Amino acid sequence: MTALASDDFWTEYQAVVNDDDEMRQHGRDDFDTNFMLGIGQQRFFVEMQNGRVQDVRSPPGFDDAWDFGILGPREAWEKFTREVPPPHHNDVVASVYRSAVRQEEGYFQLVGNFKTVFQNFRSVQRALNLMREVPTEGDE
Amino acid sequence: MTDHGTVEPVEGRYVYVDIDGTTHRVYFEENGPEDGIPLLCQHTAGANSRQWRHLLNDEAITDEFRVIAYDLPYHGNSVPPEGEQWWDEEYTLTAERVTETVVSIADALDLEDPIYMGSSMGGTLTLELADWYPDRFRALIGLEAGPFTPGFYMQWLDHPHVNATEVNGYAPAGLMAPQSPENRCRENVFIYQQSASGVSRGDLYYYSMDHDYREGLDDIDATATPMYLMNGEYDYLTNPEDAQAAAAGIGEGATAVALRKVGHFPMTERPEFFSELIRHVLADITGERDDPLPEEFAPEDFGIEGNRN
Repeated sequence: MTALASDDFWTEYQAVVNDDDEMRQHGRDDFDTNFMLGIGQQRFFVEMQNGRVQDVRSPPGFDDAWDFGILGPREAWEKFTREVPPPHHNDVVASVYRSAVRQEEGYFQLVGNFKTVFQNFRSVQRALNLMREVPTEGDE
Repeated sequence: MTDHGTVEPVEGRYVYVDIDGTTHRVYFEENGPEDGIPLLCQHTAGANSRQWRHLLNDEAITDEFRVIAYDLPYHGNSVPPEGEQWWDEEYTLTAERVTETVVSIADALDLEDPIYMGSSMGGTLTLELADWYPDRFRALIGLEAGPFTPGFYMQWLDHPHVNATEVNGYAPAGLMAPQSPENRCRENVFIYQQSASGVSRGDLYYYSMDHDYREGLDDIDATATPMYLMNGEYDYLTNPEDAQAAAAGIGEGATAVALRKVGHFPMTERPEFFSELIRHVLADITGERDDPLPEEFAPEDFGIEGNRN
């Protein structure tokens, strides 16, 4: 049991993603897009190479480059990463839809190059959903 | 596991349907008594009649109802029309076009007093059907319906730089509830992945651009043809509050029911739950049920356990 977004969390997360069969399917070894996660006030740079998480570091440095980011209040991430997330927090598109289209507070915002997101849609969605595979202290 | 050699009682056939002066070859599947009350089932955007396969095989329903699920033109087994250079045009479904199609299919099959049921764009379509064809159906069941459903008419669903099979399949994945069995959810993704280029996006022109009853709910009179608007709580496009708002705006004859622990595809993602709850709705339509429907249905009401709870 780790705290969400702690060093131990990211270490375990990296192992989960890199061992996931579905991340390997259908050419996803070509998923090479770095992204940024904003969890509350903290920023985490996720370095992806060949469909695998190479590193997660915070804060991103001058040498880091990323194409898109997902930002949200820490509470939104705690809901998203529960084993059974509450309605509209169970998927990145669900959460972004509620903020971007319905203009509701407390959900994710997607920033950066949306085209890149949709070009790598399944990989991005899967990589985020795998955050749920790391047991966190907020799990009920 | 179903026994080896089992043959389902569901039959698939083709009917020729006139839509705006052009004949279309439309595929449909059916099960149930020939003289049963027709229950006409519409799939979601970019999908096909396979979404209804559990209901088509549900004896508790098909003993009394003639369940019919069709593929809209360009979907599933319904190929584009002969005699049109459809490949030169962008496929774009409008509200007028889809309502005419549904009514024309009901007419071509000579259905008397059918119940219409649809999900997602099939659910929102209950509003146009009630508004424009108020006498054609016995009742209208709108699953995942709302007065206005913006935001899903996206270029990425049909773009040369995007793997549309993946996006069309998995963009709707988060519309399903975490409690729904994973094999059912994945099958729905698989159905979505079989859509032809541009069809899903073209359907969503109707859903997110042309369908807008924010100022039009007063135009709908549900007193003669009852409407049932039932949305899943995990449906982030149209949640139970949207169904309530639509029913309240329509007024007498419109009933909203919230569906707990299910998402945008109740008939596909959680068929055991759907089988139980829809019996109550159908009994309300036929008058076999005396009590009003509850404000919500939950799987626990029927002793159904989730994938997770």
